[in-house]
Amino acid sequence: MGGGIVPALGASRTRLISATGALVVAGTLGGLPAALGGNRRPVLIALALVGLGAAVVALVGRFGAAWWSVAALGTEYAVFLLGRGTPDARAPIVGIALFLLPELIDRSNQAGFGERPSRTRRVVEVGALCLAALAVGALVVMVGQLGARGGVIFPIVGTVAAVGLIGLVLPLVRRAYTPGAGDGARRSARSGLMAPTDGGGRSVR
Amino acid sequence: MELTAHGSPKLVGYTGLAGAFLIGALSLRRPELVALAAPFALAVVLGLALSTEPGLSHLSLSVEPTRAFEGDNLVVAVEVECTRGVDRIDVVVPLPPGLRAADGILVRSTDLVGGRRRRLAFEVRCERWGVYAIDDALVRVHGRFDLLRFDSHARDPHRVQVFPRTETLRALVRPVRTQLHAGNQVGRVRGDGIEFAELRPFVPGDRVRSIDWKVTARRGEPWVRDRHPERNRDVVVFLDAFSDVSTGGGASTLERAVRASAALAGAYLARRDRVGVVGFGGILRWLEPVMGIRQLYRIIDVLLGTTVSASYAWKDLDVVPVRTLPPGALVLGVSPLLDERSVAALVDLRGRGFDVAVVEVSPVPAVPPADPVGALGLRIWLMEREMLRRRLRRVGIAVAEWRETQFLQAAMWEVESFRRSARLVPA
Repeated sequence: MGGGIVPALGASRTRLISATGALVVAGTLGGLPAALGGNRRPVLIALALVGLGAAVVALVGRFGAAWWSVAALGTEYAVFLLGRGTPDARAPIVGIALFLLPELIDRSNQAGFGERPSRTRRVVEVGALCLAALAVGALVVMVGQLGARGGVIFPIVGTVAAVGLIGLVLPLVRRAYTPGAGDGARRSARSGLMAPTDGGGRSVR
Repeated sequence: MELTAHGSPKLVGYTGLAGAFLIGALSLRRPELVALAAPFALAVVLGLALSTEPGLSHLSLSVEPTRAFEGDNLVVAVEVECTRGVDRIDVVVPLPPGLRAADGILVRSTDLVGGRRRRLAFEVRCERWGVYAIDDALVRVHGRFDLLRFDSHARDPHRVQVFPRTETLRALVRPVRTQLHAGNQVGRVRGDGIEFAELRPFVPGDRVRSIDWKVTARRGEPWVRDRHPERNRDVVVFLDAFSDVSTGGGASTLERAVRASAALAGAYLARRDRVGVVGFGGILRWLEPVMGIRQLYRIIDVLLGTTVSASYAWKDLDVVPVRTLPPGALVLGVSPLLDERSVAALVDLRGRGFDVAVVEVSPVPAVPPADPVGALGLRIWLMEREMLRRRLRRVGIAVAEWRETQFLQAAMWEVESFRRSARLVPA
């Protein structure tokens, strides 16, 4: 008797490592604020449990739950920050951990699909993005620490930066989307063979 | 090659989270939340800026082989080539019912190096006989950070014929009359052959080579040895396609009837007989009796197209072309005996002098109803069916019930046994 349908060891290992990593990240993100939360501990524990539960659901195959996990854990961190004086210097690391959580879940769910060159490239890309985000986050926190002593000027600069960011994203989104197209995507979604997609698309020849 | 771009759920998720964290930062006046939003916002900006059209330069769909038997595997392959390298490309081949992926996975994913062609193969198992169209494969190319996706279709029409896997039959129903061509069946008439018939005194006109010299020497006068010639038969498989009933087992009555018809046709053709087929149903299909292996494939082709087409019009033998039913042919009905039109046609054939036998593909449910009313109804129905069988036997039609758990050979033996006991064929 052969073992024709036994999955490759590499795929299982990737899946297991990614899933364990996602659970460790979710556990750390949920556990630390809850441990340091003082009198808000029940609320923080509840949010941590929601975040962890959603991460588990996402790992089981419902990837949409990953966003609820990130939202719950982010909310937990925001509740943890309420009433504190100076900005928390750990925020950039928390941000990267939150970003890595859906990435790890996705990687676990899709384990075994890609071959080694693309996996390596993906890891390098995500790593570079995390480093850039770490730099931006550190800058934001540093500016925030200055802003605590700087009056109203820094909130205004922050608002302008946020609007500028939206202004940067919108043209990119418009470039990607053109209403009226996307028949193929909708057909794929209807057939249920590929994940449902949202909205329109554009035709490229 | 037409591609349709659309956003992925990740794009919506990243954008939503970045927006929520930024709004939270502004409303709560906490700059840390901007740091939380930063990776998501950066991913969206960089992902959208760097995701470019993958440049799909080649996309094709192939199926090998296009003819197979039930239980065999086919290979459905999609060849794809992009001008630029992509991290991930998914290929899905929607399969019609009756075919399924051998490993249960309908999606194949891989990465692609720019300018290099890649072949993604699916092993497909043929579960049920029939004619299937495999003409579309969905291809999805994932952009950078999986924020944008580009969909396309590989459209290439392929027609796959899955032949029914048939039972090997050792003994067949012997016809009353044989035909003129040489075959494997010992004829009832006298003529040139191998099988001994009888010894009789020489009469003028007998050939000298027919003289049995040993008997002649003993008797002192010339005696000749008569022989039976080996002849072929004309067999028409009469497939009742008026009704199709599931008995709760694996296959419906029509599926089993088609398998039985293919098995019978194959077995008779292997014995050098001429075999034709009549698909008697809402749509009439027929094939005149011919011998040879090519005829087997023609018959299977006709059988594969057999479906139940709802029809309330009364149909009798007048709609069947005359040449399809040659005189003296053995008509083998394969029918669940549920539709009055097919029963009437079989009785009519017998009335016109054809040699008719019926394999009744039993529509009796595998599991009898548990409630008393249902059980009583089933008993009455079974008695009615027994009456129908007796009516057919009274007019000289041998009927054998073929249940799903039985071999077709058992039904053949039962038919032959009835025909011997009714003295339709020699014992």
